[in-house]
Amino acid sequence: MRYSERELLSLSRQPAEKAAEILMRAPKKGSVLKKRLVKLVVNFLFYFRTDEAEPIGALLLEHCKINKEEENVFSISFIEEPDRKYSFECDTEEQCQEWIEALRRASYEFMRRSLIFYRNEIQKMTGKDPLEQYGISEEARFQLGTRKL
Amino acid sequence: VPGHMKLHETSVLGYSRAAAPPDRQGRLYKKSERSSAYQRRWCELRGNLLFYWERQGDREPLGLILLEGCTVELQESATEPFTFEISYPQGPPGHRAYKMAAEDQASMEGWVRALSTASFDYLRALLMELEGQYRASGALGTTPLEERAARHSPLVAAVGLPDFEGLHQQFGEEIVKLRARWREERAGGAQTAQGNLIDLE
Repeated sequence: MRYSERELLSLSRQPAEKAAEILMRAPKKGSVLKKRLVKLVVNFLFYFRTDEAEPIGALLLEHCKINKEEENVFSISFIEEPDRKYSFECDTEEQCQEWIEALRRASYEFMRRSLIFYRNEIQKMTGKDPLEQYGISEEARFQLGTRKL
Repeated sequence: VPGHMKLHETSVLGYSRAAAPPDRQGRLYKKSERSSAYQRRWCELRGNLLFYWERQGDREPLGLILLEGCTVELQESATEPFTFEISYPQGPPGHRAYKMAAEDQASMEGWVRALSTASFDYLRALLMELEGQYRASGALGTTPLEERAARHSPLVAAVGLPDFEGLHQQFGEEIVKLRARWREERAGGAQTAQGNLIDLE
């Protein structure tokens, strides 16, 4: 599948929602914990070797599960491969919880569901569709009922 | 090896095959970088990603285009009708733009509209706006059912009930003010609110 590495690289240089040096372990068997610079930009998680300017990897944060593992540790797994987990060991439990929260909210699908919820609530409360003024009230992707909540 | 970033493809492919319908789908023609010929593609927009296949129904997409930080512009060319371009003005210099052609005017306009509002950033700004409206609309009001439930709560018995009637009155006034302001804004702000704000149609 073709994709532009340059586009992704460009994205990885954008200001991050969150960035930190975290110990990371890939799902491969026998993988060890390695210190990586982990950077959250929109719905992508980039990870870099700590002394390099370009990421070595990128994860699209859609259709994934962010799980709390043991103390200070969380994992990312994807619906298609639930047993293959990317593990992250934070410095503190607090940092761990912050990342879990941030990553769960980082998916386009999560934001879409939230938008639909607020749209519906505002419409119920005020009788007015808040998306009308943006000219996008007919867009299929913002309709209630077309997606499983 | 510098310049060799690994994108975790399994999850991207999984997303491209999600059960939920894509945000937009249809036939588009994509200009090849090498040959400059337009090649027919089946395209599906999901979130901030535009996937394309050789044919509808093919399993693996040929590729994907990331729709973040991009501009989508109509081309208005006499020789290449219904064309638009996806470019990255803030991207690295010399970065390629994608030239696409639709089959007719309506399809082109629909795609341009969908692609130019597909970014995560756009959705996030919209969401923040709606969140603000939600809070401003007095979302904290309670229903009579909640009121009754509160009466049975030992905590509420200890600290007492808030003045629900007063709160409802206050929220009602807030909503009316907001409505007046929204109406004003829709009319281009030409009028200022006059007289009694409690002026429902």
